[in-house]
Amino acid sequence: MKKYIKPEARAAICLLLIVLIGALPFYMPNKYFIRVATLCVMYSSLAMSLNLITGFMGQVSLGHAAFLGIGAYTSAILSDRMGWPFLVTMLCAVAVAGAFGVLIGVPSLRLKGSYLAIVTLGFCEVVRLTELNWMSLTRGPLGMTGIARPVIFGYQIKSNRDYYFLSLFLLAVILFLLHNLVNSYIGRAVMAVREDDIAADACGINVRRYKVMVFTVSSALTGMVGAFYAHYMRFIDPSAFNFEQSTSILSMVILGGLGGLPGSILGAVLLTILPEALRDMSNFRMLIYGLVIAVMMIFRPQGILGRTTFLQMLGIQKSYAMSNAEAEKRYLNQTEAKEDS
Amino acid sequence: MFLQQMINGLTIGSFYALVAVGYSMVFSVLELTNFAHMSVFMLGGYIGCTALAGLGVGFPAAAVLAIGGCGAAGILLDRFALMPMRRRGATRVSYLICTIGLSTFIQNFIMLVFGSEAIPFKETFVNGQIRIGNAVVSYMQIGIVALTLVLMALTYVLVYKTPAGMSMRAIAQNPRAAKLMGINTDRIITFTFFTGSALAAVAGLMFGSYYYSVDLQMGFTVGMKTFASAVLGGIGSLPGAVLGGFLIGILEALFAGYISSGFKDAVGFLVLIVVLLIRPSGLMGQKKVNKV
Amino acid sequence: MEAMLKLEGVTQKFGGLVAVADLNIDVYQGEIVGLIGPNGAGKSTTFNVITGVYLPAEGKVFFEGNEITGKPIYEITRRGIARTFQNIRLFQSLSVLNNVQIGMHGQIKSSLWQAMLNLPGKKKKEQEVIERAMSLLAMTQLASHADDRADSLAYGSQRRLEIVRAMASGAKLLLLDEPAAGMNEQETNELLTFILSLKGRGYTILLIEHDMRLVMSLCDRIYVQNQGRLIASGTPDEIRNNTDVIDAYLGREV
Repeated sequence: MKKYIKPEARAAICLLLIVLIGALPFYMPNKYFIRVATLCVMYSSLAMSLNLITGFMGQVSLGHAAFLGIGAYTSAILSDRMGWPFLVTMLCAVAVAGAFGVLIGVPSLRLKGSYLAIVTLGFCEVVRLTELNWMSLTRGPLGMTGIARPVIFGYQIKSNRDYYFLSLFLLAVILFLLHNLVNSYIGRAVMAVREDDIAADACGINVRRYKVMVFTVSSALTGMVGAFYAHYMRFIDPSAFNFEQSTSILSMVILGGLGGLPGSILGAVLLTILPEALRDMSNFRMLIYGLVIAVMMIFRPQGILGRTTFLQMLGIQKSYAMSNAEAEKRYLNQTEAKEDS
Repeated sequence: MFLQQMINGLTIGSFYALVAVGYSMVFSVLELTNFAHMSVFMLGGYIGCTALAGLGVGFPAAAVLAIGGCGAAGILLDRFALMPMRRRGATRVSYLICTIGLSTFIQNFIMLVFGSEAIPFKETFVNGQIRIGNAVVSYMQIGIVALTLVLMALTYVLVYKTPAGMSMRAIAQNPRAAKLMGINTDRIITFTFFTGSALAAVAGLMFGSYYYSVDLQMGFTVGMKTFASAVLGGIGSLPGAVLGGFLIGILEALFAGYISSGFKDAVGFLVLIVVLLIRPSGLMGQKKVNKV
Repeated sequence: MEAMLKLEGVTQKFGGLVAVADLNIDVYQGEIVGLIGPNGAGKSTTFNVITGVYLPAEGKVFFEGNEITGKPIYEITRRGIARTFQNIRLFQSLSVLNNVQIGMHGQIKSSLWQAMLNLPGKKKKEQEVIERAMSLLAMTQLASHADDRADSLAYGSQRRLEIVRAMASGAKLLLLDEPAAGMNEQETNELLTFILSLKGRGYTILLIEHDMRLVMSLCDRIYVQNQGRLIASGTPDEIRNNTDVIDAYLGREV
């Protein structure tokens, strides 16, 4: 259906969307709306980074909240104890979460499917229990309060609008990195691992290396969002980083589409707005998430947007198919010429 | 203290064993880790215990209600979620994710129906206790372990001595061949779900009775440890699941008694991760050759 | 002349079962060598040992004079041995072009930072990969399907694509596991021409095949495996007239 929208029209729509998203705090000055929008943006980042593991590499991770928590606590603790500025603590959050990503990537070398899902789930629980019991570091169930507002190059992030733009900036960074990654030789190698890991290996792909790499990248980016989360909420406690949180992120990825970045954004926005829009239904939030996951898997496992890429959305995906005669003329003469020289 | 912790460990190990057997049965017929199983266990606890406390019925009646409710849930789960996926030839990842969703759904369904507060109650199915040395053993603990062993024996007979059990094992070996041999695989799979859910129901009821309350955390905490049990014993192996359940129960009790009770819930996992990395086939499972 | 591929006393066991026993095989540069035998003779297992999927219990595998026993699968591919699988193993939901691009992966110097940050050099690398992939597709009449999903191709084309993917790795030695399986006569004939053209391009080929007509007309030499052991080797004519082979495998049909 979308195929019939002209590229120019698509570009116009996209431009309009970008402007609408960018200017949101100006035409929707209501604090509450800006907060919901910020959550949408934050969950979009989270869903995209989980999509890298689950959608592109095909490994189910149920422990994504752990990395969010690790990032949040790292940044909060460093800012609290050391008084380091936000950008520094955020980079530390990225590094620490990434290091834990390596740790969980290693079992993924030997385990697949349910086993890996269970191990990631267990990892998430162990991290949560550590956060809960290491009182001297994390203040346990009391949580950490009064986390400093970020100061970026001397600018104090204060208003909801500031936070919204900060979250958008992080989203843009994550989107840039992930879009490049999945549309590169590495992205193709990762998808090859998803499709058939033995055949991937036989294509000269160091499967182990890429598995660890994907877990590391994904968790590092999640850690970055975690840092934002801590300084945005200004209060964190272990209950925000439990299995339920992991499930929420997973349901966004699934609703939007496994293996496509635009889908993750759509999924995150829909599932953040939905429970908010239906105010009386906040008790039903997890019920809806659970149902969304199950129903999608039964009836539309590819999600709403499936593996649609940003380039396809914009209508600028290159096509390579051509008649065999043309291909021969274009490519074969060329290679022979090269071989001759 | 050691003896006391062993007894406590055997008791909680009983719950793990009962639930783990359900996991294992479903895993062997479908090669699927059924995440919804832990919520079914919780459902059993809630139905059974509200029946005990609220309706004031006896333990057998509560057990029947719990088994009925959970069995129905198991059947519905298979008929309306997994069977359509089987028909379509869904990937294993989709199955797995689907059961995760269902698990979340059931759990929150329970919360909406029964409320989010823990439900405490006093009635239990047997009172009194005896002393062995300086350890105290309640009759309830004896009852729990005994009932678990009886149920395990019954399950063993079901799987290894009845035609239905033989069909189950045939499907576990080769679903397509089983179907070609005239086995109604869908019916047997649904039956497997029913059996597993019924065992989980009894476990849930006993769990609630033992702790004098049911709460929304029970599904997850016990569910996690039963994964560990099933994997430790060798997923797909019934005796393995029972052994794994008791081992994890005992380890957890000893850890809580001697080292730290805050981290006792992590023990199952640490064991699980170590087992998966050193011997993924578990204690009693069979090694699989990677076919290319 | 030194053999390109050399198997020395390779033995592979699964539990108590000996799948491959004391196997010695030499493949020389530029040859097409057949590996035949009844089902369960251990032919695919032999391929799996060569390509590093299994670590043999005993024996050694050499490629171009270097021992490759026990090396990781991807490493062996990068050294120049690529394979196809008995049951086609394409990256089914990816495009035909992607499949070939992925086949080339071992030759790309991969860098996470370059890929993620679009650092200089990425574009050129990708462009080269596309051109080489397209020229391979053009050569094999698959260019018109470049954007299609791999699993949407006709069966014969899927087999062909799998061979193209193996060629893309830059391998010198191709291991083809039953390339003609499930093909009709016309497809088999096309395959025959195609494999011969590969020989013309300088590839060395070791293939497992049950289609005797194909084997006899393609191969320079043939090894016959039965119950894990080699029972004969030689030219097609020698094999055709070997009584052991006839008893074990060929029966009276050839």
